[in-house]
This record gives sequence, structure tokens and C-alpha cells, in this order.
Amino acid sequence: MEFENFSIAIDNKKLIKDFNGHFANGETTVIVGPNGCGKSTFAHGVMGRNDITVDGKLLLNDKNILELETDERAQAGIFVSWQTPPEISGVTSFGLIRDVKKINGKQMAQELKSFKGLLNDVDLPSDWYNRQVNVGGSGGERKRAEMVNLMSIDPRIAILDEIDTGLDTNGLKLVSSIVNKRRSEGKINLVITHNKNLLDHLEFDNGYIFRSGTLLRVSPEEIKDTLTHGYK
Amino acid sequence: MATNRITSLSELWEDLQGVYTPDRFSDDIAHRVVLQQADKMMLENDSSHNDIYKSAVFKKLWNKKIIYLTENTFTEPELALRQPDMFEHLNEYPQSEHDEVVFGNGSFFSTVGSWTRGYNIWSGSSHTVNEAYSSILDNIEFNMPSALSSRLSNSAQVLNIDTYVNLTLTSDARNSNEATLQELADDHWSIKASDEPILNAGIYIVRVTKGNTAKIKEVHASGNAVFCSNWIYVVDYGATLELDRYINQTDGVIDNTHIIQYPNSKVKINTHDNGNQWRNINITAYQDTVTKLNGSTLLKDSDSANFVHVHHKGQNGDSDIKYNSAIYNDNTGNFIGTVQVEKKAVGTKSEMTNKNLLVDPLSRAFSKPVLHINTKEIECTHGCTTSKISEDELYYLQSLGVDRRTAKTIIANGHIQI
Repeated sequence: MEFENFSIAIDNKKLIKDFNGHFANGETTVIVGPNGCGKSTFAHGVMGRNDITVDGKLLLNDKNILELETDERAQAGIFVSWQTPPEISGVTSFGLIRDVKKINGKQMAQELKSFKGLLNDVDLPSDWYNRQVNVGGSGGERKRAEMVNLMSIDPRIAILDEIDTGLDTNGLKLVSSIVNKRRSEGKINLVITHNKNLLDHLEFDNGYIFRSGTLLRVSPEEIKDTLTHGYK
Repeated sequence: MATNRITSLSELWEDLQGVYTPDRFSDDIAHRVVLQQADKMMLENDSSHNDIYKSAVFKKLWNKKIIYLTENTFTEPELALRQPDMFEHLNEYPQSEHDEVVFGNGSFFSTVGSWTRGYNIWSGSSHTVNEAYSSILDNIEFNMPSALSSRLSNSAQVLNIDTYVNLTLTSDARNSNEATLQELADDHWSIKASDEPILNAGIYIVRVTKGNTAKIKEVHASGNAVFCSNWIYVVDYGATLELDRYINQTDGVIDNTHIIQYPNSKVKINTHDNGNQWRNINITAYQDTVTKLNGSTLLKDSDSANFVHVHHKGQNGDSDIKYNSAIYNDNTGNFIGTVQVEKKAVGTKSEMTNKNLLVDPLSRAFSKPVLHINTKEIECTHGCTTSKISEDELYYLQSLGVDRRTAKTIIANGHIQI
């Protein structure tokens, strides 16, 4: 995944200007930055939220995916986990995945079995598959549900936006192990976080810090240092 | 009276106002009581200020061209059997979970066995029958469709449920007016295959007797019919009624349902609306009753109108009414819900909500919740919302790979889930 002169603005405010960066297969990158600097906007700009203006190119297999609609970007292999995923009443968690993956009758039983297995992996209640999407779920449960969606869809590129918020220590270990597994499978992971405890378990290759309207590439050690001692 | 012809409900209404009950029904006491009540209402009716007649869908269905048949296969009084025969087969086949009863033109028939059976109740002395039907009809507020359908009904039978049943009430096409029309067309009548739908009108009374439970799936399904009916469900002391209502592939339904809940009874209704319908549900609830009513409206090709009136007449009634609709294109969904609490109905709890989702820019919803409270020490709330689809929800689904159109459908279908 290659960014070329990638710029982002929201409400006429430019948050990132002319970012160039390469994200290679099998690499996990941690992105940090102070509150309000535009980390989530970056994630959703990549995904194509329509109130965010983007400029430049984002190349995936030599194709500029910024020309695609959000759903087409998802189908091209990009996934963004939400900080606060919305409730969708009347739609069950498994029903949503069934529609997303267009699962037909013959595959249904097998898919449901594997979906229930994923729920078990992230310590969500066994009846979660039949509960309405995020309705009544705690912050931590919603984050775990996002991880289930991630594992079920299994995209090539995952941008995890503060996935650690609301998660307990076990949850942090869980997220780390899922991302580490994806890394070992050659997938690309971008992890946006404020939480240095997450980094105790996460294997990552690169770091970026939001500074002065762009993303600066730094080493993993600098990321850990920044989260420990604060932004300069 | 009228012969077979192409007409409309409004023309039939005009024709029948003030016309004396035909002699051919005079030997059926129950039917006569119903006809007299309907005639009375038709004379007294003043529709000019009534909100329930104002929607475009009412006008459309009321003035729609229909084929009215004065003869049909449903009126075969010689087949009518005493009530206990109706569910006889349940003892023969206790493992059977579903029973099927066909309704049409005011008659019920069981399709079990090799022949069609009708049945009746309250067939004792004329005094008993008269009293029984009058006591029910005294509880009913007639409106124009209910009065007309009762007036057009070929009989006034009661489906009397005196055991546990799980049954489907269906307008079976095999025994429908459509089949009758074909026979007539083959035989002597001049109207052959036509674009106009056939009218299926009648009064239907279902009574769940003391302490019994009935699970009923009520299905209107016919490719070429307009249904104009007056349904009366009587839920006796301590009885339970679970009613699921579906309308599939009709040319329109314009009907009234009245539910009379005697003390300690429970009613749960799920009603599904796919448009082209005008339905009024009146519930009279006496003391210690529980009423749950869920309405699910999905309007893709046409308008609809739903009216609910819950009348708490006894203490400690508990009613919960939820109507959700998803409205596409330039269609309009109408909902008027009224909760009325009488002076002696102390301790009533009632909650009514109507949530409308406008899927497209031209979709419209008309919603009017009304409370008439005539006592103290009650908890009654109501609320209605009309909103567009949340961009956040749409984007969430799109970010998972669902195209925008499908995302709208998923959200709309979720919104109306019961």
C-alpha cells in the first residue's frame, strides 16, 4: 500500500499534507499522535467517509483506490475498525456478516459455526451472534465485536483505530495476538493507539507520529518512548 | 339487491344504505343480528370529520373498481357442523402442530379431510344466539369498512376455540371467489377474466374460550382480490391469543379488527404491512389484561394506513404498542394510535411508540399518537419519531463492503424487525 502526496481535510481544515509512505505486506505499523491531530480522520479518509476531503493517491496493486466508493475500497481489501461502532437495530451480528460475505444457504451452517468460534476466541457471550449489532454492548464488547468482524472478513489491510480503548488487559493481549497472527500471515496492519501497554504484546515494524500536519516515520523505540514520556 | 357486477366499495355503500336486510338471511338468527347492527351503523355514520378516512390509501381502496359476486362457493349452510367437530382431528392426530382454516365472505371452513366443513356456534334457541351476538357487537365500534363488510357477509359464524390450537387462518385461493368467478365465467355469466380484482368481504368472529391458548397465523393471500373484512377476536377470561398477521400478494386490504379482552387475558399481535392496506385495530381491554401489539410496515410500492385504538375499561391493564415502518420511494405511511383510559381503569400502564424510517428523500410519514386519560394513578407514555437513515450506519455497512443500496435495505429491514 503506497501513499503519494496524500492530503486530508475536514471542515476546511487541512490535517495532513502531502504524506508519502509505503506499507509493506507482513508489516505492522503503529501510528500515534496527540488528541485531535487527525488520526481517526486519516483512517476514515482512507476508507472514504464522505465528509472527509482527500487528495493525492493511495495505490493498492497499482490502482488508486481513492477513486473508489467506500464499499469498493472494502472489497479491495481495506478494513477500518471503529472507535465507537454504531448500533444497527434489528440486524443481528451474524446476519450482518452473512450479508457482508453474501453467505448462501449451503454455507450458512459452517459459517455460523466458525462465527461462534470467533466469538469464543474474543470472549464474547455465545449468543452474541443473535444479538443486534452493537445494541446494548459495552465499549469493550463493541471492540471485541469489531475484532470478530476483522477476523471473519479477514481483509488484506486493517486499520485499527484505538481498538484498545475500553479493553481490559486480557483484551489487549487478545488484540495483539490477532494482529501478530495477521502479520505472520503477510497482511498489513496499521494500529492507531495511545496505549503503551498494547505495545508490550504487539509485534510491530514501523511507527508514525502525527506532527506539524504530516506523518513522520519513526522507529518502534521512538513510538514507545513517545507513549511513555509524551509528545515533544 | 345487486347482481354480479363491476363496482366499488363506495358504490356498494351508497346502494346498501337504508336497504332492508334481504329475506334470504331471515332463517339465520346470528346473521340477522349482525346485519341489523351494520345497517344501523350505515345509517348513523358520519365520516366527515374522521381522521381515519382522510388518507389517500383509504380513498384509493374505497373507490377501487372491483368485481362483486353475489353468489359464491362459500355459502353452503348444509355443510355447517356443530363446533366440536371443527377440531376433532386434533384428537386423531395429536402430533399435528398446525391446523388450517380457510376464511372467505364471512365463512370459515376446515380443510382437513377430504371434504370442506363449515361450523357454527351458539346454535341454541333464538334468544341465546341473539344475546350472544348482541353482547359482542355492543363492544364494537363500527366504521365504514367494518359496517359494509358485515353487511356484505354471507354468514356470521364464530370460530370457537375451546382447546389449545396452533392454526393458520388463510384465504385459500382454491376456495376463493376467483375460483367461483372462473366457474361462473365458464357457465353463464358474462364477466370473464378481468383486470378488476374480486371483492372478498365478510365478518369473522374468533373466540378463544376461557383459559385456552390460541396461536393464530392470519394470512390474506390471493393474486386477484380485495379484502374488506370485519374481524372480531373475543379473548375470554384468562385466555391467551397470539396472532401473527400477514398480507401476501393481494390487490388491497381494507379492514377492521376488534379485539375484546376479558379480565386476565393476554394478547400478543404481530402485524406485518407491505402497503396497499388500510387497517384499523380496536382493542377493548378489561381488568388485569396484558396487550402487546407490534406493527411492522415496509412500504416499497404503495401507501398504507394503520390505526390502533386501545381502550382500557378495567383496572391494571398493561398495553405496549410498537409500530415501526420503513418507507421507500414517494410512499406515505400513516399511523394514528390512541390509548383511552376510562375513569375506573386505575393502575393502567401503557406505552405506545411509532418509529418511521424514511428511506428515500420523497418518502413521507404521518404519525399521530393520542392519549385520552380519564383517571389518575396510571402510567401512560407515547412517542413518535420520523427520521432518515443515519449516514453513520450507512457508512459503517459500506466500510464492511456492502454497497449503499443494499446497506439501506439492511437498515430498513432491521428497523421493522419485530
